[in-house]
Parts: sequence; structure tokens; C-alpha cells
Amino acid sequence: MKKYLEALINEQIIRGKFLKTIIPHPLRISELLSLAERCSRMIDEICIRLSDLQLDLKERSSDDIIDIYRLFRANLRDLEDIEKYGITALYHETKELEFLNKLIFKIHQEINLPLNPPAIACISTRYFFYHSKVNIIFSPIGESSFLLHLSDIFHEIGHHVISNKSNISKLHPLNKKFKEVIEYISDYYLNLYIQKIRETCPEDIPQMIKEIHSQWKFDWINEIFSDLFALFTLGPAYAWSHLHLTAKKTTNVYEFNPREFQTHPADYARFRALIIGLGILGYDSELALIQSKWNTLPYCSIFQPSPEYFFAFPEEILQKVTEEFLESLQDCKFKIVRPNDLKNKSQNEIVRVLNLAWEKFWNNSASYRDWEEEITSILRKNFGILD
Amino acid sequence: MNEISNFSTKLTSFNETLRKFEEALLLVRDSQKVTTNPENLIKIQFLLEIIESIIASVESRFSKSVMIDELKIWDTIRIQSTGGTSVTKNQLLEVYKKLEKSEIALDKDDIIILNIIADAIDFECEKLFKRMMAG
Repeated sequence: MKKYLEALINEQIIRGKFLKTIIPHPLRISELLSLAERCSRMIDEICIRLSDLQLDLKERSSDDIIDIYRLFRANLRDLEDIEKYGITALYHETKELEFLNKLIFKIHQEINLPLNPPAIACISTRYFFYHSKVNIIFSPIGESSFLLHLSDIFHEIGHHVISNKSNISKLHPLNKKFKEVIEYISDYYLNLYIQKIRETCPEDIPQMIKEIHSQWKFDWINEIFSDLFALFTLGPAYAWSHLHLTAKKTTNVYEFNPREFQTHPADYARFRALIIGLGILGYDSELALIQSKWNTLPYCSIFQPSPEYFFAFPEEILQKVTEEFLESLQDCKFKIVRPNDLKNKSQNEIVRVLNLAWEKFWNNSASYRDWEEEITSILRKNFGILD
Repeated sequence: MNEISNFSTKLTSFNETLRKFEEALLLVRDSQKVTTNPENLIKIQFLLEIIESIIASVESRFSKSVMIDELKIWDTIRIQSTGGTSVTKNQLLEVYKKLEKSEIALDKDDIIILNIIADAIDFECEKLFKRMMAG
């Protein structure tokens, strides 16, 4: 196995070197330069780590190489990640990509993001998502021609902020708050666990509580934060976008199955956090309107939340998390969009445009598309992108 | 709505945990090389944090650490170890106590249990990676 592992490591060093040669140069879109540079640097780092493993391997006997094997696999995962998500993204320099990258640059200025914005690639086949290793937001190709769901870019920027909260000093208040919130959630579920044990509850309940705690800590807290980040830096447009997506995609807004792992909190729990956030920011009329639209969604009336739902998404946690995250974003000097701020924004600001889009849509959905086409065309011209 | 964001964030974080764990394991596996300088103490502290979060999971203490998904790691360890739950738990406690006292002279069994933890972290990373690539 020692010789084979040596060959495996060597193969990946060769692959890494090859991947560097296929990073396209020169790039047409300047916003992708930092992505190309990052991919190249990460590949170099992997190759150095793999070379170090080769040296370590030489000093080991065949029955003492398991740790080197594990580290080889970790480096292999990193390399495949960069190839699939990083380098592939650089091969699609379309006008849509150029538009969205200029758009996110403008957004990062508007919201006072204290770090470089992520790149955007238009090759997602599964809605928007953020990839933390390569630092890219992936968008479906057609999304750049529509405004209603561009709000979701703000949610993905939220994921980008989480990924960098411990290494950017301006985000340290958020990093500290995250730890406090996790402590709060952990204490909440520990107390619930003790209470249920004392009550001699059914035997699957304690295990369910442990799993809920784990899902909050590793997944749900990130999703709720990213939702709130989008709400606080963009305003009601994000809450509308969540409602819109729920109307299109969700079958049960109270979804929670204790026997199944779910990366996202139930849509109703996410909606509740947004409603709490809108209330704190003072968007009273928007809150009432969004709530009334939500109540008309068919899936909200057909289903009822299960008893387990209330274990998973208690109002107390949603309230606490919303308040704490708003405070930390203010401490990090993000521009929080309150009702008066939104009114005073110029028509050129993306935050204003995305909120206006929802006003136009609800005022007259039939004529909305004409307006949307006109605005996206103006935005493209403003960014110097010619159709 | 897309799960890849979650998988990629967790994978990046857990892969980093695995690297740091291996680095610390490399240090303690050969006790003759160990000196208790500040850099080494940081590595030992890291091992302690990981082991403590797993023990907390076994004892239903709801760990606040996010370096590994201790619930899943413990599930894997339980399956991997031959001695049964209580034996494995005692092994974890024993290695924890030694490291806590900066007693670096770990024996063969201690290294075996640390390797089982590393295997479990690697297994969790590989699962996340496959789920992410399937997306």
C-alpha cells in the first residue's frame, strides 16, 4: 500500500499542476480575476501539502500510513472541489455572469460588506447556492433577467459572511454573537432534554432533541442567519422573495420529520423569523401585507404543524436569534435598511430597485414584466454591458 | 433552498478540523519527540476540545463546540470500535485525562482510539463531499 499511496499522491500532484494550466487566461471579465487567482493559489497549497505527505511517507513503514492516507483524501476532496466548482465557473464568461458580478460588487458597496464580495457563476442547475471553498455564488443562468428572486443573492452573501466571520476582524462581533447564540440554543435544548427525561417521555423524544440541537448548531442557524442578513440589509424584498419561493416550491411549510436530516428549517419557521425581523425594523404595513398573503397560501391551511415541529422551531429561539443577529450586524457596521432608509434611497441603488420590483409586482402583475425588462436593461447599460 | 451551501460550509470546516487533528495526532504518537512548548500545547488543547465534545455527546451534555458533528462522529466510532459503548467511552475518558494533565506518554490503545476518531472525521467529510458532489 505504501508504494500505491505514493503513486496516488503523485497522480494528484500532476493533476493539480494540470488544473493550473487550464485556468483560462486572459479573462474577459475583470471581476473573475480574483477567483482565478484564488483557484491557482489553492491548487499550489494542495500540491505543497501533497509533496510534504510524500516526504513523510518515505520515513514510514507500510503498516503506519493511515494518517497520511486520510490527509491524502482530504487534499483530494479539496482538489476535486476546486476543479468542479471553481475552474468550471471560469469557463462560462457570459453576459449574464458579467452582469451579476457587477451587480454583486455594487451590492457589496451598498450594504458596507467588510470583505471582498464572492464571485457569481451562472451554471447552477439547482437554484442559488454558495460554495465556501471556492467562494462563489452559483445562480441559474436565466435569473439575471428577472428581479424578484435576485433578493436571494443577499441570502447567499449571508453564507459568505458566516464563512469569513472568524478570519475578518470587522466580523468578530458577529463571530462572538454566533458563539453566544449557539450557547443559548444548546442550553435551551439541554434544559428541554432534562425536563423530558424527568417526565419519563417516550424513548425517542430525548434522541430527537439531541438531533434537533445538532441541526440547529450546524445547519439551521446558518440558514436563519442568512435569511435575517438578507432581510436586514435589503428590507422587505427578501421576505417577499421567501414567500414567492415557498408558494412555488414547498409542499409542507411545517416540514419536520424527526427521522430525517433536513439542512433547512421548515419554511414557516424561516417565515416567522422574517416576520419578527420586519417587526423589529418597523415595517408594520409590509408585515401585515406579507402575513395576509402568506395566510392565503394553500399549503398553509392544508397542513398543521406536528407536535415535533414545536420542539424544533420554538418561537422563543426564533425571537432571540433575530434580536441577537440584528445587534451583531449593527456592531459590524453593515447598513441596516429601515423604512426611512429605504424611502430615501436613490433609484440607482440595487436595494431600492429590488424592493420597488415587489411593489410593482403587487400593484399590477400583468404589466410588471414590461417594467422589469426596462429596469434590467437600464441596469445593464449602467454597468457598461451592451445587449 | 439548495443544500450545497450547507454541505460545502460544513465540509470546509470539518476538513480543516481533520487536518488540525492529524497534526496533533502526529505530535502525540511519538512521545519522545514531544516538548511542552506553547505551539504543542495548542495542538494538545485542540485534541482535548475534540475529545471533550464527543464525550459530551455520549453523556448528553449538548456540546457547544462546532468543530465536528459530535453526534455523527460518536455514531461512527460506536460502530467502528470493537469493545462496546462503555469500553470506548472509558478509552476516550482515559486519553482525555492523560492529555489534560499534559501527560504525553500515550500508550498504543490511546493512539488507536485517536485514530478511530480521525477515521470517523474523515468518514463524515467523505459523506458530506459525496452529498455535495451529487448536488
